[in-house]
Amino acid sequence: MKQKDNIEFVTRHYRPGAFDTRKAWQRTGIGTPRRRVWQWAAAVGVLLAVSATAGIVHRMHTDSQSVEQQSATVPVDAVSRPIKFDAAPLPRVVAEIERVYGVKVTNLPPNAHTIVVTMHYEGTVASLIATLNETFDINLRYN
Amino acid sequence: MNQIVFRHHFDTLYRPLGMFALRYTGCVDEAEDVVQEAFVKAWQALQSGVQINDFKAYMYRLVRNGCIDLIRSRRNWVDIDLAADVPQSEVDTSERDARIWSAVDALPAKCREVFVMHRCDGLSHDEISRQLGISVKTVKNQMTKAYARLRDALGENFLAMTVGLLAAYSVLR
Repeated sequence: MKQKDNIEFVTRHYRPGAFDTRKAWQRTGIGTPRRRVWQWAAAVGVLLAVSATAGIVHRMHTDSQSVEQQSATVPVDAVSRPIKFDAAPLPRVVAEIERVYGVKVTNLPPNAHTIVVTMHYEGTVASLIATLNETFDINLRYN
Repeated sequence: MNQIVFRHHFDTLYRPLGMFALRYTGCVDEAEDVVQEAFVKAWQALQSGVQINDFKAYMYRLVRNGCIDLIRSRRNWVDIDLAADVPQSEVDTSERDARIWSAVDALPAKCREVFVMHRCDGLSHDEISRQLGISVKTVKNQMTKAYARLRDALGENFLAMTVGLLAAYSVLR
């Protein structure tokens, strides 16, 4: 009967748009939205600078090998990217990290499927992996 | 605990805590205010060096006490031990509520509109049909779809409840 009570309770109070986690987080002021805007601006700036550099290099050196060498100078650890998980099991999270950051993540725990992650994150892969390890007391590694 | 970890806890706990507060306050806006204030207090506590061993239990206590403060401002006394942990049964209830709330939120727009009109506003199928300019059959179809989604949200528990109800019904017959 508990479930029936739950449905009665929720439908009695339900209001579209209420208990919106994203808006609530902004209202607490803990997320410091100004900083997030600046982080986005900085990320876009870095992206533009990298693109422009790549273009100039491409024009100066038509040799494709030299272009590869130039792009390889941006270390993976320094790239800040947004990534979002909503109740995603850890193996799916790891696959997404590998896709977004272009790294290989290893050392998943045996109970990986039971770990569910909800996270809205912007930053480097190093910081993200460290956060996941701290949050779930696991020991993921990447390369 | 850094901000990213804190945000993870916020994303995971905000809605269950909101449901928990709603059971005390009976008002969505007040419940949201209490939960947000509790998270701000927790963040400030962490920033000032307070060690929190069980963050979830800590947040449930903070929210419960925030609700009690709110209720006390309306009534003179409330018989509850503010230092005690929140019973697990209340935590479980709030988590179930949150799953249902999220399931209603995730319904397709038309389906949610029909569901809210029927279950929240108390309109009959005929009234919804007239107001939305759709057939009663469509209203019933949308309600069936909504209940199917809620069943999914509650998983096996809902199935067990349904089986239990059917069993009780067959015995009574």
